[in-house]
Amino acid sequence: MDSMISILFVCLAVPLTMLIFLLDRRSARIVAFVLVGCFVCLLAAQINSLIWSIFPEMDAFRFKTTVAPAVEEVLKALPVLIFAFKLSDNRITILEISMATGIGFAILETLFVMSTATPNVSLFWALLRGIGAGLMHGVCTFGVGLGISYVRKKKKLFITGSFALLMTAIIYHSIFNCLIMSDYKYAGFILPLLTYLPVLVVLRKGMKNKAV
Amino acid sequence: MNFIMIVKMAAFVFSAAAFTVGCLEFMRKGKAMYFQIITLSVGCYSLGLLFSIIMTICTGTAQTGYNSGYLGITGCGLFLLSANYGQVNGILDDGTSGFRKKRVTAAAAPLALLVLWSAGAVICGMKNYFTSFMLLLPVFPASYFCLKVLVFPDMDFAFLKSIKPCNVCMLIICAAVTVQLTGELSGSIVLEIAGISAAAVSVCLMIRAAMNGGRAWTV
Repeated sequence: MDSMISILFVCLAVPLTMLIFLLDRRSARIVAFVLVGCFVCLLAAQINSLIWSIFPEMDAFRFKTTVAPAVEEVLKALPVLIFAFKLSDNRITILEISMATGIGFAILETLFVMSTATPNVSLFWALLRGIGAGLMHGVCTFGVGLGISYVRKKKKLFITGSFALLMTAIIYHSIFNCLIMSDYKYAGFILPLLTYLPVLVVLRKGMKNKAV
Repeated sequence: MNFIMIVKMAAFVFSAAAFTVGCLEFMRKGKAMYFQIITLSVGCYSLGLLFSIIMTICTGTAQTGYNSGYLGITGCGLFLLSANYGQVNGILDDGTSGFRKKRVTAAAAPLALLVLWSAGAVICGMKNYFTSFMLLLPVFPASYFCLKVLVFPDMDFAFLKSIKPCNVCMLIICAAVTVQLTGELSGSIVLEIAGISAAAVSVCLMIRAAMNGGRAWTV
């Protein structure tokens, strides 16, 4: 039987792929990376399952706060890294696609969580999940993208800086996972919102400078 | 609430305050990236402490073995390495043989940390050597570049003089996090508390020194 996450991915991927051909270059790139993010989520689910099958003695809480964040953050950074290496190292473009990848990842993850917990979901749940997980994945990949944007300009800084930002993203992701699985889940949902606002200011400023 | 938890909470408050001050001072256009990276290193360290605190609160028990909070130390080391290796080393060292002695002198820092780590690990009976070594891997070269900035001549660069106090604090941070991680992974409460306290005080002093240095180097 096909897994639910693969079915959800196809449901999202087919219409989005058709949409890409109708959009201008910038919009198409963003939608394409949302799609890439969804694919990365699918891949991460498979890799996480594989790792868990290797270490069955590890409990779910420990797995989701130590192993899963590392796997997911590394996988989300890969498409951004490939884009920066092969296509463009424009800072604003990299930050845009980083955020798109993170949000694409969060969309498929949220849909999957919803499909497995259908009796417990509500509009309020969807809103919290959208703000919390959506922004958390977006902000984490955005942070790593910031380091990756130095890939061609400052190679030394790119190598050490990207790994440092990756470590920060993994800890941030682990804190989020830890909070949402505990009694303090509302704090977990507020945390990404507090970090998203400065990110929004940085992006808006960058776009304004570019326009000038 | 045990004593280590109180120390971690205090250290988190100090490092988060230092990070906030650093952000307000350096995360602006026209400020040197060197100080921005230093600020991020403090942020990463405090995030690691925050994870450790939250994990203990959420599970109700102190964590044993590897957890994501330790990556705060690795990330902090990587940021410190980024600052000196990525930003300053190219200007400081032209690679000529004239500075060979200075380079050898700078190698004393990672060697000293290695001795500190192995002595702590052996005395406290650490079992997970590999995890500990891998987590500290960026801290060793970071200490090398810190000492390099300290022993190399200022030449005509005024900014090199301005970042030296910062690098003294960085060296202390490198040593403190080595002691902290050795303590945490070997279960030595004394080493853990000593490491966390020293690191928390040093990050605050580093941001203070960076603020002074930032006035001399603003581009």
